[in-house]
Amino acid sequence: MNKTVKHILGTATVLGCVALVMLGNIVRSRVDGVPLVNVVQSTLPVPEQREAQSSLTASLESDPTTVKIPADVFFEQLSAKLKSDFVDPIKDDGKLVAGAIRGMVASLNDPVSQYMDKDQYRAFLEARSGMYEGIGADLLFESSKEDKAIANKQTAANLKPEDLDSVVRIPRLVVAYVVPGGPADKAGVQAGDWVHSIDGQWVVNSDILKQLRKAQLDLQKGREKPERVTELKKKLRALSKNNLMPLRAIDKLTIGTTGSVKVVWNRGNKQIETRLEKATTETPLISESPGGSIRLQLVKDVHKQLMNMIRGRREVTIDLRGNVIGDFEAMKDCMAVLAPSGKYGYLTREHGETLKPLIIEKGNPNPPKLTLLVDSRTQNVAEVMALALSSRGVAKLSGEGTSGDRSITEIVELPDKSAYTLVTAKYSATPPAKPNKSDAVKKAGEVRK
Amino acid sequence: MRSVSKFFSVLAASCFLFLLGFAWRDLQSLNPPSTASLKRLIGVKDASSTKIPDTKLYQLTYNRIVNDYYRKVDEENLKYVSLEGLTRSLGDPHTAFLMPRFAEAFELETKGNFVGVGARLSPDPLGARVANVFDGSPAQRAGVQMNDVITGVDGKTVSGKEVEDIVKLIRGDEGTVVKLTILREKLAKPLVLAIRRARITTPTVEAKLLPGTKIGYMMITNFAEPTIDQFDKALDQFEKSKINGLIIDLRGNPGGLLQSAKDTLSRFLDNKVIVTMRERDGIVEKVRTDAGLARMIDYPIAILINEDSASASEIFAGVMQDYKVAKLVGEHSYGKASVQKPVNFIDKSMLKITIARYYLPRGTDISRRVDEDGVYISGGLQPDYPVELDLDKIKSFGDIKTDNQLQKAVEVIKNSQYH
Repeated sequence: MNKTVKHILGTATVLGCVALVMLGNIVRSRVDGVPLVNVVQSTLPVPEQREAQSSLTASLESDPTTVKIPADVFFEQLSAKLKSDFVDPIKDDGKLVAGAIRGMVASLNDPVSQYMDKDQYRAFLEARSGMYEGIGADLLFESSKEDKAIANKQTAANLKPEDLDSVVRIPRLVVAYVVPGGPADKAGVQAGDWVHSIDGQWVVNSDILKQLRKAQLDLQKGREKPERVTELKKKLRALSKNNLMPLRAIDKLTIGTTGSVKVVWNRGNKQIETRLEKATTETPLISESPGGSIRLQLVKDVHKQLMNMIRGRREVTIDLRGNVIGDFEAMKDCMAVLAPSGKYGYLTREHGETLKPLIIEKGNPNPPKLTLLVDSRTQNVAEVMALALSSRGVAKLSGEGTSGDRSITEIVELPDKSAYTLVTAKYSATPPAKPNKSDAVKKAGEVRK
Repeated sequence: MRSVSKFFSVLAASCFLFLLGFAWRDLQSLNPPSTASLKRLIGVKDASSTKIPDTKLYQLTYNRIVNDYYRKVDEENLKYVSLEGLTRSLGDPHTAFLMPRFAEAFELETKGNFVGVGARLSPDPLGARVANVFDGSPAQRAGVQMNDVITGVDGKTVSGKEVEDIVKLIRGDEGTVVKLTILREKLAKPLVLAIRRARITTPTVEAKLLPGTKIGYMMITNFAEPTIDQFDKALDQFEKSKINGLIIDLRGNPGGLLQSAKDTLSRFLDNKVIVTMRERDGIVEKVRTDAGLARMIDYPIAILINEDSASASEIFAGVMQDYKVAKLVGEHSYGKASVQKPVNFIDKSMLKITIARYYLPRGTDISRRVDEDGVYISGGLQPDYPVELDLDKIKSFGDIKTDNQLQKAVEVIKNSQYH
């Protein structure tokens, strides 16, 4: 073999080796499903933040200026710290991310946006398919008018944690709908009843706190006797000794099909005591009452049954009382069965750069004369449907006024089969005026970057 | 034959080089090569490889809430509440993430030296309730009383604010004046008191003879460095007056330094094991009192505790109970049987993390159990003589006329004197 051949062979071997290593690297990228740039680099934040990451746990004194740490980096670092240092080894690390999500959803302080653990979500899904667990009822949080006023006044932009005053704004837990033939129905529980206590545990709500607060303010102004304040304080103290937070109360009432609960309900000024045996209560997703009104759950494909049920009728009454939650797309399908095509209002947001109109395509060209039964517990998409149809003169509303909540809620399922609901928009029959100030500020900020 | 072995060695080298490339990014970041990726390569389905990584799930949820929620969300706050939630999911009330404003308050609290008016505050829907007025403090001189409710600071209402924020308003520069609007139960009109701020060092031991008795009453508010000297001084004074009983009040004492509790216990117990600490990796450490420092005690001792007695004060009370040196009177204590380490982050937030647990001499596990809402289920020291505090009567701890738990402690002392 001459020298040249040796050289060529040697170079080829080196090149071959390098090629093999590169091939390995490329295959790895394919396998991991990431782009061919170094994945570690690409997810790293901008340089100054990388510095923050490297000295994330530096002492307070070492850096006098406050540095922002990006949420995901912080999440990862904090998880790692807990996993390495906590006194008990953390076996199920999925609970860390679940806890973080629960914390985020809870911080919205919004009775309609709620986190549901596995059991809660299972019971929720079953109820949406007509199989109720527990006492056989839909429950909801009902804030008083004044609480709502506070909540509406506080646009999210000027909402500071210390302004929330969340202690005195714990809503009542109210029965929205009683499933016919279920345990609650048998015990005589009615829509509108609200929970005072379960198995002797007071279900925390702010009614008494508000009374106390008012009495204390009146006392400051000399319009109330100190004895009244002391009396209310005693009452509150007695109740607080054995209490149950509202979300736990929902669990006790809506999860499980065995065992019994003793529930004391408030109805007007009366208190009603019931013993309820938990059971499975089945109810059709759509049904017609002897009076001829149709009740339905706004869930996927229910519109097909609705179409069959109303075929050939010239007058239709739909009972939306106590209808607390449903699916937005399913609601639109039902609207298309009941009403002609057209624009039915707008979906708005507080920081609303997107102003989507609510449009029904392929509607019913020959709609029946429509009456919708509503009450203050007609909420969420059911309420949106009622307002949309009535605002365009397609339907007549009958009953008390609705809550005014107008939320459009998305249900987000998580990999561990827990879930959360998130209000993604509010409905408005008319186009809202102009994008608000906070939005303008945000945009200006973006330009500056 | 030769060419076959040559072929295999080339093949082995190729495989090695390929795998080297495959694992390059792991080696670069000093990780062991990823088996999950290798399994994906050879087509083995692995449960962990199909799972969305937690950080990604977190990021997705975070983005979704920021982008899709119908209101504008304060992103800084959302980040911090998520970290609070993450930490809370461990179910240990002492492992906690503190966002910067809470971390700041915590720092000030533990340093025990700050500029203020000298009162401890607790939450109240109308503002802040005065839980304790420090002896000789500006607040005491101005006439602030226990159970007063502060509803305004410098003329601005503070109703509905968090205690931490009210404290921030009350604190300020040394020598300046703060005006507090105060609601007192028996008064028809709110009171406005002007108080000059001063540097406050919290006294840790307050002692007095109970009027009309020979019983010494000593309140320890905190186990800090100067506590042992203050304790010795108080006890010397008591023994000079020939006391025939001692009441140590640990109600509201949140703990402090283990060393301080140990020093104080050394006055009663000679070279005895007081706590056994267990760390995560199985390391066990026993802490003993010093030898040769115990005093001659020839009088009965009662210790007052309540749910706010925690940590070092539970060690003190629990050890005294276990060695039958004292009887416990009052309500169950908090139930803190663990050691925390602080971790400071560069954005001034902070993590308190439990790194060890301890057990009292009798081995009882006193750790507090709470449900998901943080409501007490069990734990803490159980008093030998349980008495609930009469909140409608009490004016201040240590006031023999209105403090019914103290009255019970006196009764316990008197009864053991006769036996």
